[in-house]
Amino acid sequence: MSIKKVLTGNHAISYGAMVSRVQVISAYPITPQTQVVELLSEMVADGILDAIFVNVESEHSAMSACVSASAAGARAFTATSAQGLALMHEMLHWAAGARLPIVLANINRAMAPPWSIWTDQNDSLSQRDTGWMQIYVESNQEAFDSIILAYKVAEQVYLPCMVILDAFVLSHTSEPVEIYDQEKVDEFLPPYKPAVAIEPGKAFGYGALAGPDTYMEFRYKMQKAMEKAVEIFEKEGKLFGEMFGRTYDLVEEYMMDDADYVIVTVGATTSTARVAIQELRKQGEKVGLLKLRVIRPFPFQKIREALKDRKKVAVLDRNISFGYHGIFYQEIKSALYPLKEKPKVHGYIAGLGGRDITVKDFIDIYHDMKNREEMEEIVWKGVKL
Amino acid sequence: MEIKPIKVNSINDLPEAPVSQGVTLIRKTGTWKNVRPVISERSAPCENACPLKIRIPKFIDYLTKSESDKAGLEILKWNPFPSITGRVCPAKCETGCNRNKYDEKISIRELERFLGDLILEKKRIEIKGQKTVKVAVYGTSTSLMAAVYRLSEGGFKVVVFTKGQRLFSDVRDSIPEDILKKEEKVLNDAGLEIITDKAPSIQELKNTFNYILLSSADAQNMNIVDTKVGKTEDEKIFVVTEEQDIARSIKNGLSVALYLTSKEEGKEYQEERLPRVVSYKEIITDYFNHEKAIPEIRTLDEAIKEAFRCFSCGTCNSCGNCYVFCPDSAVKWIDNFPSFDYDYCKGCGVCVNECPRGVLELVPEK
Amino acid sequence: MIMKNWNIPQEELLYSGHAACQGCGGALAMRLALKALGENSVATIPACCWTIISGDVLYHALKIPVFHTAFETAAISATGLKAGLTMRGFKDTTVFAWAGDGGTFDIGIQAISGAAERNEDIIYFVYDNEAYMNTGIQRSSATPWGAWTTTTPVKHPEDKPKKNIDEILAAHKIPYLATVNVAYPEDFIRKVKKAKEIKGFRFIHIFAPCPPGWKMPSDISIQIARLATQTGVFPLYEIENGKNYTINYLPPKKLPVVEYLKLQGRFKHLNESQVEYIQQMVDENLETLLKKHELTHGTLENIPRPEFYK
Repeated sequence: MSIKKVLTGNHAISYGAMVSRVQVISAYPITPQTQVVELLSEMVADGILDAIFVNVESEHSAMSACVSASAAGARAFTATSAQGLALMHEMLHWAAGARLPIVLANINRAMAPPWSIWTDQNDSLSQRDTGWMQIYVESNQEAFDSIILAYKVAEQVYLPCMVILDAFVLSHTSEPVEIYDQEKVDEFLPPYKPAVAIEPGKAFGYGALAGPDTYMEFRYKMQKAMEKAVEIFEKEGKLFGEMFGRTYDLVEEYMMDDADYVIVTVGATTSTARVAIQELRKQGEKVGLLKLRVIRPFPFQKIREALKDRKKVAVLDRNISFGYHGIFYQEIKSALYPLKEKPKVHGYIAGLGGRDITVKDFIDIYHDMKNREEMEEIVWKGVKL
Repeated sequence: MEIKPIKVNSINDLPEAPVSQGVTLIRKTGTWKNVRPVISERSAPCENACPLKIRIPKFIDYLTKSESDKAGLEILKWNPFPSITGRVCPAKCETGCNRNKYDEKISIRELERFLGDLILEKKRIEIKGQKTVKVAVYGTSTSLMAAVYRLSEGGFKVVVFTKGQRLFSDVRDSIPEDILKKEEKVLNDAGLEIITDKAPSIQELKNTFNYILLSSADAQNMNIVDTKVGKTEDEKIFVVTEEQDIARSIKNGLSVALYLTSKEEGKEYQEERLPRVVSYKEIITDYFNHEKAIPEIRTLDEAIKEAFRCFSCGTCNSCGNCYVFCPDSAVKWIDNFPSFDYDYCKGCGVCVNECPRGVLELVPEK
Repeated sequence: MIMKNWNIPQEELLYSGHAACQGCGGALAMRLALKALGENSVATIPACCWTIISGDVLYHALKIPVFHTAFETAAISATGLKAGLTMRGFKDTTVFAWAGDGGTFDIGIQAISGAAERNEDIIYFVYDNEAYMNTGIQRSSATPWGAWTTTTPVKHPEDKPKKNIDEILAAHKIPYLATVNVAYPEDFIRKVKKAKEIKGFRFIHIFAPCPPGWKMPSDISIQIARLATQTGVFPLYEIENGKNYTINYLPPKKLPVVEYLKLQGRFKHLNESQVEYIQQMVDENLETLLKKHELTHGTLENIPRPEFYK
C-alpha cells in the first residue's frame, strides 16, 4: 500500500533514495541540502535503509566515494548544491567517464560570491558538459519519482544522473507526496547489476591511460548512450505511469494544442507559469506552456515537434552564461535551427539568486513576447535598472 | 597464458567502460636494456690459494643445503684424500678467507676433514674406461697414492711397489690408523695390485710398464731430474715431488696422472684455471651478521652451522637477493638458482649490485 | 625450494612488462606489497607514477583489480570501494589505496585526514620517492631539505624540512602506521601482513628510491634505500593507536648521512655546512623517535641491531 506524506522537497528526495534501496550514501552538508542527508542518516541508523553512510569531509570526496562505491558495484547516492556541486566538478567528469550510474540530487542554488542560498540554475547548468543526465523537477512528488526513474535509466545506459530541484521553493516547502509500496518499487527498479565491477578475482584496470588512438571511441560510446537514453527515459516514464499512475516524458506540454505562443520553463517556476497560462487562456490568448524536464540528453526531436508550428516562443532562464545568453534559450534556439519553418525565440532572464518570479511576471513576459517584432536574445526581467 | 596484442580496429573492439582486457606481458620491456645481467661466477680467495683448487664455496654450498654426500663428492673431484689433508694441510685457504676481515675465517680444513671422514665409508673409485696402459708406481707417499687414485679412475692398470712400506708412508704418524685403513681399502677395491716383496730396477720396470712414477726422493737418488709436470728426459719416467705442503704434494701426483690420462686419450693437457678472485671489498657485508667460527667440527649440525658462515665469494649459493630485489620480476627462481627472463629484464643492474658475492655481471647487449 | 636469505611468498601478483623505470623503488614496493596482501585485494590508484606503470586502457599489470581515480582522492576512493564491496558481501576483501607522496602529503591530505579520522577500514600505502616524479621531478612537501628538483633548482634548492606525515597521522590516532623500506623486504612483508589483519585505517609509508629523480644510476637503487635506514634518514618503526612507538631496527653502527647523500646527484651541490645541517636534523629526529620508543617500552634494549636486518 502506498502512503501519502506531507514532505519537503529534501525529504522527498530522502524517501526516493530510500525506496531505491541505495547502498552507499556519502554526505557533506550544505544549505539547502542538509535535510536530505539528515533524514537518510536516521533511516540508516534506524535500520530502515540497509546502507553505508559516510560522513565525508568535502563534496569532492562525496562524489569520489560515490564513484568508487559504484565502481565496486553498489548503488550510490549523494546530494549537494551550488559550491558543493562546483567542488565536485572534477569527479562529475569521472563518474560519467567511468560509466557509473550514480544519482545525485542537486538543490539549485546561486553561485558565490556574493554568498546566496536561494535558487538559481547556474550551478547545475555549469555541469551540463560533464556527461551527466539532468532532470529538473517541478514538485516534491516529481522529485521523489525522479530519483527512482533516474536509477532505472542510469543503470541501463551506464551514465550518472542528477535530479535537480529549486532551493527553498521546493527543498523546504512541504507538499503532499505519495510514497509507493516498496514491493512495487522493487518491481520497477530491480537490484543494480553492474556490467563491470571492481571485485576480487577479476583483475583489470578501470580508467587507465588511453592514447589518442582509443580515447575518442570511449567518448563516442558515451554520446551514443546519451542518445539512447532519450528513448529509455520515454519508455521508463511510460512504465512508471502504468505502475504508479504518473507518466513522465522528457518534456511536458500544457495547453499547447492550438497555441501560437509558447512559454518554455524549467523547474519550480513551471507551477507559477501554469497559473499564468490558465489566466491568459481565460482572456482568450492562444498560449501554451512547454516544460523541459530532461535537458541532458537534450530532447531535440520533441522540442522541434512541440515548437515548429508556433509563431513565437519565450524561454525563461533562471540562469545565464556570462558573455552569451540564457542557457535554455541558446539550446532551444539552436535545436530549432535546422527547421525550415521556425518560430521567433525570445530569451528572458529572471529569478537569479532566488528573486521571486510571479504570475504577473509571466503575464508580462507573454505580452512582451507577443508584441516584440525583432527576435530578442536577452530580456532581463525584474532587474532594478 | 596466451598473450595476444589487442587490435582496436572498430568501436566494437573496445568495451563500453574504459576497462582493460589484456595484461602487460605483451610489452617485452627487455628491449629497453643496453646491458644484461649474466651469471659469471668468479673464484674465492680460498679456492684460489688451494693448490688442489678445491671448489670450496661449492662444497660448502652443498653442505648448507644438507647435501653432505654431494659436498664430499665435490671435494673428491679435486682432492682424493680429504681425510688426510683435513688433518695436516697448512690450509692456505683459511689464510686467504675473506671472512677473516669481517669477523673470523671459516674453519675450512675442519669442514674438509669432517666431510672426508663422512664420505670415507661410501668412497669408491669410479673407473671410467679401460686402458691397456700399465703404470708402475714406485713408492708409497700420499702424493704417489694420489696419482694412483686418479690413474685408477682413468682405467690405467696400476701396480704399486711398496718396497716393504705401508701405503701413505709419509703421513702414518699424523693420520689415525683406521682412516688410513679405509683409504687403503678404497684403493684395493679399485683393483690395485700391490707388490711388497720385489723392488725391480728402473730398466726392468721399463720393460714391463708403459710408465713409471717415482717419488722425488728416489728420483734424486737415481740422479733423475724432473721438469714440468714431473717429466724427465725419459718419456716413460715421471717424478712426483713430495713437498712440505701436503696439498701441493697431492697436486703433483694428480698433475702427473692428468698428464698421462690426457696423453693416452689424445687430449691436450690442461690444468683448470680459476676466474678472477672476489676481494673482500666486493662482498656486501650488510647481508651477514657477525658470528664466531666453530674451531672444531665434530657433528653434522656444527658443520652445517659453520658452512652457513661462508661468504661463498664468487659462487652462487642460492641466497635469493637477485630474485627478491628485481622490480620487474624478471629474475625467476628455478631449481634454487636464478634464471633471467631477458624478454622483460630492463638491465637496471640492481641484481648485480645486490649480489653479495660478485656472481653477477652486466655485459653489453648485442 | 631453497632461498637462503629470504623467507617470502613466491607467488608473483605483478606481471613483468610494466612501465616502471629501471631500478624503480615503487615497482619493487608494489611487487612486495602484493605478495603480502594476496589475491583477495583490490586497489585504487590516483594520479602518480603507478597510473602509468600499471598499464593502460588495454593492458593491465596486476593480478588484482585497480580502480584509477583522481589525484587527490586516493583515501576517499578506497573508502568508497570498501563501502561498495561490503554492501555487496565481499566483507573480507582488503581494499587499499596506493599513492605517491604528492597525492598523499599535498593534494591528498584532506582526504587522508578525513578517512583517518573516520577510521575507514582501508590500508593506505604511500610510496615516497620525495617529489612529483610522474610529472617530471617537481618538489613536494615530501622533498627533503637541500634536494634539487626542477622547481627547487640548484640556485635555490629545497629549503623546508620534509613534512612528517607519520606524526600527522599518529595524531589521528589510527590503529596502525608503519614505515617500510624496499631494501628490507621481510620487514616490509611482515608489516603489511600485520596491517592486513587489523581493522580500521592503516598507513604504510614506503621509502621508494627513484633513479631518474634522485639523479643516480639505476643499479644502486636498493643500496641507497638501505643507506637511508643505516644513516637514520629513514628509520623503520611502527606507531600503534597513535601513541605506541616501536623502532624495529637500528643499525649496529649509524653511518654518517654524507654516505647516503654523496651517491645522489640531487644532493651534489651541497656544501659541508649544509651536510652538517642535514646531519643535525637526522640526529634530532632520531633522538625524538628513540625517546618515544623508550616511553612506550621503557627501554631501548629491545631494539634489534643485527648487521643483516631483513
